[in-house]
Amino acid sequence: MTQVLGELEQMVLLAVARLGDDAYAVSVRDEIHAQAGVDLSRGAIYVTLDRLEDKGYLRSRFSEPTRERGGKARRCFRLEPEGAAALRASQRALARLWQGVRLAAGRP
Amino acid sequence: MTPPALPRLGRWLLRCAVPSQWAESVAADLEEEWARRLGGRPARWGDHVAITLEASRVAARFALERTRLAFLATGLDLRGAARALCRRPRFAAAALAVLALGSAAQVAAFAVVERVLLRPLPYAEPERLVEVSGEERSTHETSRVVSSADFALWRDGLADVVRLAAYELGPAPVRLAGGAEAQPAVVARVSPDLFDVLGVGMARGRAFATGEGRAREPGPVVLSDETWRSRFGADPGIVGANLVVDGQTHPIVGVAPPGVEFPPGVGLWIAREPVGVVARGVSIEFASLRLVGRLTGTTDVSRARQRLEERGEALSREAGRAQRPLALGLLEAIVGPVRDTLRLGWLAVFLLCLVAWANASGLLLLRTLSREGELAVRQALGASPLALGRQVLAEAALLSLVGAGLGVGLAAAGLRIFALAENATLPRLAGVGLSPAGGLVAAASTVLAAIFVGTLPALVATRLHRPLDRQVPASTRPAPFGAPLVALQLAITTVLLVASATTGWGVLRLAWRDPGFDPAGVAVAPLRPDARQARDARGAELYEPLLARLARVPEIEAVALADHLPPDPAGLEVPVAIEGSAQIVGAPLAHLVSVTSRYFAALGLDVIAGRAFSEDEVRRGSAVAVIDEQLAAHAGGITGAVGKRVVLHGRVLEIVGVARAARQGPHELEPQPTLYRPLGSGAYTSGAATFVTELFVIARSRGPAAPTLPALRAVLASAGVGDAGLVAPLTQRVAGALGARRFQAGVFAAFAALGAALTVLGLYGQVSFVVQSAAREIGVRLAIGASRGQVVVRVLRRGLAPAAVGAATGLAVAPALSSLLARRLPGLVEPGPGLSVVVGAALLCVVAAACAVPARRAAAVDPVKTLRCE
Repeated sequence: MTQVLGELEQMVLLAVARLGDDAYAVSVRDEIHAQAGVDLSRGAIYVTLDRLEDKGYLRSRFSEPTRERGGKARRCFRLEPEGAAALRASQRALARLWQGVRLAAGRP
Repeated sequence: MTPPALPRLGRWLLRCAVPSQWAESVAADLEEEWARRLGGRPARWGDHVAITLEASRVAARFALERTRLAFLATGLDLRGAARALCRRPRFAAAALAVLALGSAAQVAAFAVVERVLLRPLPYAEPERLVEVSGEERSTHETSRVVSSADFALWRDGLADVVRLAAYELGPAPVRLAGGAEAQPAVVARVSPDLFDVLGVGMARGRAFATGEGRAREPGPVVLSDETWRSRFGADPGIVGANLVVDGQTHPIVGVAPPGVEFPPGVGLWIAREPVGVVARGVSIEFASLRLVGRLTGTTDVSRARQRLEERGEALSREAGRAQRPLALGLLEAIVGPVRDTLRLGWLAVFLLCLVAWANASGLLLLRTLSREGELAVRQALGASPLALGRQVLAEAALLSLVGAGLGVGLAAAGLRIFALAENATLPRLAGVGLSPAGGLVAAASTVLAAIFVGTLPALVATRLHRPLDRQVPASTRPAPFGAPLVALQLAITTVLLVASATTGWGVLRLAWRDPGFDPAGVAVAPLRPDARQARDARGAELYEPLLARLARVPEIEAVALADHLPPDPAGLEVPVAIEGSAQIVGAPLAHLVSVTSRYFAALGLDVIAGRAFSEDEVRRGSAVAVIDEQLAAHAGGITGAVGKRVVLHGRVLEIVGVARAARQGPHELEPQPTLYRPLGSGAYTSGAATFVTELFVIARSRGPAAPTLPALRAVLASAGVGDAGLVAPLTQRVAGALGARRFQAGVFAAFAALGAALTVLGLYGQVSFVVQSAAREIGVRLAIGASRGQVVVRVLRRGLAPAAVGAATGLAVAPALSSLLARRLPGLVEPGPGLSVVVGAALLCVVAAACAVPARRAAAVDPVKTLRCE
């Protein structure tokens, strides 16, 4: 059975996918905020990135050191094929669930 | 632009809580964002605070995640452990029983120690409370009872350093005025300021007022909370009622708060100001009061105690008194005598726990080895050795946890039974039960048990490195750690058994010892010669009619009075110069007993040469003496001593008889040289040797003592000279003196029996397991020609070899334990190797029997069936 991703995991994976090579914790948080309007805590981003890497959905590498970080490297993430498959599976699962659902307008 | 560095605190927090591979990049991320937010302006202190808070939030989130994962993993491990244990219910039940017993013993032992030794006294500033005893200034002998004259002197003369109160304790018949039949209660007759000294207020009514109990009318009564509840059904209107104690009516004025029980075991207090006894202008001293005091002043307790003793010495010297006061902390005075017993009990519990844990560890080890196949499959599927070890540890933890839960229940039930059964030896035991501190001990014990039980099996599980390609089935290989565990259990059990056997043998030896007199058929009762009874007559004149009345009782064969009764500790010891022997210097010390003429007949103490005292000699206080055979050895032997003279307190006495050596003191002591003199020769006058501590009636019955008791009670009650409630057979008194020793021996016996049972059952289980799992090997051996006898010997050797090593180790430690017991329980335990060897041999026999059953089962294996299976 496909493991369904949590909402937070989906958002982080999608942000990493959108950012490509520039995905690191700060940019991922900013991207989620900018695109989804959700302000996640830094801790939640780090812990989720760590968990997704443990599951094999992401792989991290250190970038070249930059001046604006005082000569320190960024820990950048890349979406792995397993992560992409998990995202697609979650998307399909949600899509199936949405099929035929009509919510009454104006109701919470 | 270089970003500002993260403050040290924030960096430290990240280092502590964030995994190492993340810590640096998280710090760099935070610094990058911080620099972006500052926009080139210098950081202010508020910025430092904000970024540090941000770092702490990240650290907290990581810590939370780590905890969540740990709980998840532990939960999974425990769930797996529970499933594994449920698949083997017999193994789980055996291990749980063993662990529950160990845990119960620990929790119960702690509850007793906490209740008796660790609980502070329930009084204000308890560290300032002292027990004041008397020390003979010349001989430095101490006595916990003092005379009313010394009490009055010290109370008035030392008022600026200590506030003293006095009490006497004893049973008496008690009933409500107009109520039903009287029942015995422990009554303390106390000076009226006792509660002020203790710093105790009343739960109901009032405490005693100054001056109460001083007049001749009966003093008021305060009930203990326990008596108020158990005897009077917590009647709220009890204050104001009248209570009849020992035939006298006293008004009840108050009820003490719960927990106030001083002296220990007291049921009610009667105010009675101690007064001296004066007969015809001559002061008579009876040392029967015990003193409690509260140190006053602002100095620290040890300094105040020292001041009390210094001032007391000077005061007693000035007043020409023989005794000076000594102060001992009240808690120490109450629990000091049982401290060693409890410590030894605690040691026994610890050893028993080790046996239980080693037993459970052995069981879990065998279970782990039996699961080698399953563990190998799991390893092949990717489980790390560490995960396998963790799984075994989880089983140990689950067993320990459930075992502790069961143990706490067992302890609660056991404590209730113990509190009911043990009501004489241990003070402050009433109300013993589980407490929050006991819960902590149970928790600590659970953790220790899990570590002890699980470590070896977990290590073994991590080392099973041969997944799927095992050449030899696990079951036929010897258990690598089983033997040391068996040896450890045997060693500890041997030590416990030696301790139990030594103390038990000591008690038996004491009980079987010939006391030198015949206590069977003798009834005894202490007399209370107080002012009311003695003020108008000299003692001998008062008691002669009493003796005459008692002699007329048909059940009584012989009756006498004496100022000492075995097995009370010997009181007065004096140097006796014997004619033709050494002079006063170097003269033998003799225990001095003052008696009436029929004493020897009443006590069943044979006069083996010469004669006993005549009635006339007792009445006139003649200068005669009867000595025992030990003292006679200094006077030319048993026959040669009669007719010689001894010097006592400068007075020359003629020896008229020699009595058998008798154990006048406690049973564990050897008979001491004793000099008997007529009671009238000084016991009631205020000469040099007027110290009469107590007086006892000794009545020998024509048959058993029991039928004589009511008659004796009736005479004493009508004469008004004694507590009818204290009349008892002498055998009961002698047996009661052994009670503490019996308790000490009983503690060891109970633990040793449990230890032995655990060891034997554990060994039986282990050998059975080996036999069961090696059935195939045994079958093959039998098929290729091994005899059944050889198989039996092989299995026996498997069990007995480590058992012998353990027993030998235990026996090697046993002499040290015997010496320790001999030091702690003097007179009861005599160190010696003989008993240890007997115990070791007996234990090995039992172990051999436990191994023989599975060995016989091994010999019954059918080789044909085995080969068919092959």
